[in-house]
Amino acid sequence: MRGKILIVDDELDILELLEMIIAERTSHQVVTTNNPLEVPPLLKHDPFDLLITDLRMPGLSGMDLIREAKTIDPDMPVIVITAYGSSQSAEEAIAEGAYDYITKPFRKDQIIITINRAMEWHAMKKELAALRAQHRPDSR
Amino acid sequence: MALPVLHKSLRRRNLFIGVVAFLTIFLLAGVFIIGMIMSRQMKDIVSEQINQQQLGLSRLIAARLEDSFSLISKELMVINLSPSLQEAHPSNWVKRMRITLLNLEEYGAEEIRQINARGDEVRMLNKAGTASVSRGRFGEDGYFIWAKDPSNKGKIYFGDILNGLDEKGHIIGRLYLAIPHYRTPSEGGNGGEFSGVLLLVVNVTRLVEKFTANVQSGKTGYSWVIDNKGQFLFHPEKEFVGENAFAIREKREPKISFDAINRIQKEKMLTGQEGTGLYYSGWHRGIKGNIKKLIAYSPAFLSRKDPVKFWSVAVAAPTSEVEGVIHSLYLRQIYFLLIMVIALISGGMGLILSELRYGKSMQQEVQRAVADLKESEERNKYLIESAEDIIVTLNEEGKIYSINPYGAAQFNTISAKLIGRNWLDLFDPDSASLQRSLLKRVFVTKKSKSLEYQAVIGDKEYWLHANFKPLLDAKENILSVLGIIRNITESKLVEHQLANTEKLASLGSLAAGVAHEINNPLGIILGFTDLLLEKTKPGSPEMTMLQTMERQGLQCKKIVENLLSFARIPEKSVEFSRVNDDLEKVLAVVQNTLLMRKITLEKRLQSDLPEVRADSRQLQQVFLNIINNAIDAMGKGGGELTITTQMAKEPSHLEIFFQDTGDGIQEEYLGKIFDPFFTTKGVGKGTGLGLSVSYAIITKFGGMISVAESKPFQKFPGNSGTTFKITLPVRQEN
Repeated sequence: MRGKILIVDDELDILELLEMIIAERTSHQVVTTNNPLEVPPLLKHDPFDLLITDLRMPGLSGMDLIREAKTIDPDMPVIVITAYGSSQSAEEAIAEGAYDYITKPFRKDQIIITINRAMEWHAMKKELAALRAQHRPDSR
Repeated sequence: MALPVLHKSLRRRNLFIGVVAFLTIFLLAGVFIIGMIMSRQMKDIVSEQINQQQLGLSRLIAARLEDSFSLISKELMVINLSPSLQEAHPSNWVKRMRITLLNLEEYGAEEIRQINARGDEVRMLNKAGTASVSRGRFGEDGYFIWAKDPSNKGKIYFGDILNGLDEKGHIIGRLYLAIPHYRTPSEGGNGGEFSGVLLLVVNVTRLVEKFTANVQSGKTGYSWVIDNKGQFLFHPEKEFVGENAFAIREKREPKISFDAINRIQKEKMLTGQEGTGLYYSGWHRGIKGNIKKLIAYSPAFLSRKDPVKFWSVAVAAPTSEVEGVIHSLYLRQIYFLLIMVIALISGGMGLILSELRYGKSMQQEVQRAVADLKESEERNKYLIESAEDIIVTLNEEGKIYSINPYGAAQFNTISAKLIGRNWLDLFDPDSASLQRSLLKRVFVTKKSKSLEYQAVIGDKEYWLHANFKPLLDAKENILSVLGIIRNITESKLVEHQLANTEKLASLGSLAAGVAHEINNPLGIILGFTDLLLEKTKPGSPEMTMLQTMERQGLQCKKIVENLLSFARIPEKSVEFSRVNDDLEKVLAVVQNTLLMRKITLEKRLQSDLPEVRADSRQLQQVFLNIINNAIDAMGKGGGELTITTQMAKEPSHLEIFFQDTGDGIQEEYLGKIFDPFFTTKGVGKGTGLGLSVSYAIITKFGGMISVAESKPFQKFPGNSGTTFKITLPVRQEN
């Protein structure tokens, strides 16, 4: 399964690290940006299967970004990156509609597992929607 | 009554009446004089107030004049930019200029003219609507020469006031305003060259009249205006307009001296100042004669950029208006004072009579007052005896004259046994010498002195606050010193604890912040190291290097996590634990270490101790920390560790002692050992957080941790060591 992942973090090195890990272990295609304000236009331009975002960024916070992404594509899962020991903000993000979270400093396997889970969930969501559409052609 | 006695009383009565009569006359005269003085002062005050009001009026008029000129100037600037100025078509020019004249008519605008660049042709439009063109030589006129100067581009010219006649034949002043005109680049040809002058003629008498004619100060006061050459622009007396203010007055009333107003005009008004004053005039609204007047004046500047051109606005009113008001007031005041005096005298007489009659009852009053005094003295005595402070009186050497029962009780005795003894002998040498010097200072300076100090009474340590106050007699000689000594041990402890908690809290948040910041780059380093490890050959030297980097990185990670957990010590959990059991658990862990380090352990644990209200795991953390410190302090040579648990003197607490035979803590470090990041261990050996975390935990459970004894090896070679003491509140049986 090949999917498209969008990663947002103001730290360029983190973007590079995540990109390398994902490229090594999976066949997913990765798009990265260090400017959270670019995310909404990117999402509108073409669909992504997953959004990974840091919570603390200048300009637009991770929480705002989750809300924004949910209005553009409510079915797309969002994974947030949180610092060690700030489980509270991770819980807030889940309440806001995030699918899951990973803590910094992260472990490779942990990330891959979380990403794959989210991608599978999204694929199921899409299938479900397609099935429903077949049964109710009038809803198109 | 015997005759001589009667005589005597009669004589006394006559004398009394005489004194009263004299006093009455004296008082009446006094009232009259005071009345006069007050009325004069009142006059001055009211005059000053009226003049201040007049000053306000003159400022208002000046401000309105300034506003008018700024409006006229703006209109000129606007029209100067209008394309119709360049139009060859005269009809458009006339239309546009008519609008401007209409706009400015109420400000006295009469005529508008435009002179061409060569200065030989002029277009005119007057307010009657008549337009005309004529030729002549305007190039030598003052305004034209001024306008041609390129440095005056965009400025406005204010000419001198010229006298003339209006349509009704009255004399008026006219002001010429000019603005240079330049071609704008968009009009073709070479833009920006001088193309003529725009001239506006304003009837200033009409303009000023608009703002001043209806101004009234008091009942009859009025306003007049002169320009900066001293010429009247406006005056209610019509024939004054256009005349020189200095000359016309003389001409009209040669008998009167106009020195005062001339001085005000010359020195103040014509130099652009504002202020108030007094002068004599020969007339006022048709009344003739030597009339004293109050005057206030303010300058009005024609242009904010050019303070050279200004007019001066005056508001004047006769002082007779003030006098009238004051006069009636003054009469009323005199009547009032007279009534007051009569009332006072009759009241005084009544009082004296009743005094004579009631002398007897006075005596009874005195007796009652004495009784009251006795009662209050008793009350004070009771207060001192029941006070919760030590209250003592001492002489210069410290001999006790008196001490309250509470004070005596602090030394386990009664007041009677302490009187005559020396106060300073009751204390330890250090605090005794402190108090001795304080006493000396009170006797030398004759002023109160306060002091906070630590003192040992019997075998207990206290913090005391003493205030020594000198008791003086009428001649300022010191009789003795009153000392009020309060026990502040409790509050000192609380203060100390608070300070420490604050310090810990702020350092904790600082540490957490730093840890958070470090976490990010650390994660990146570890992540890339991980990726590289996958790409390198197992067993190669690069692999070993990378593994070392990863190990050290992980060490950093652990430190950061420790820091973060230090910043967030879990909140109080409601739990009870047995100190002895917790100690045993910890000792089981360190047993091997003790053996290896040749340390003998002695346990003196009191059985059947009550539970303490604390979290077992956290208590174990504290015990482990202190035992580890003890092991480190004893180094490689071994030693003895003695752990004691027992009930404290107060049955509400228990005590735990950890006594080692290590190097001891140097005196200069004693104040710092609980500070975060303070460590005497080598680099990489200790984090400096152990004791500060321990402190935070123990104080959270309402206990105390401290160094009970420290013998540093530098001072006690062969006999050194440290004793840590922990007190914890026990579980209260409900």
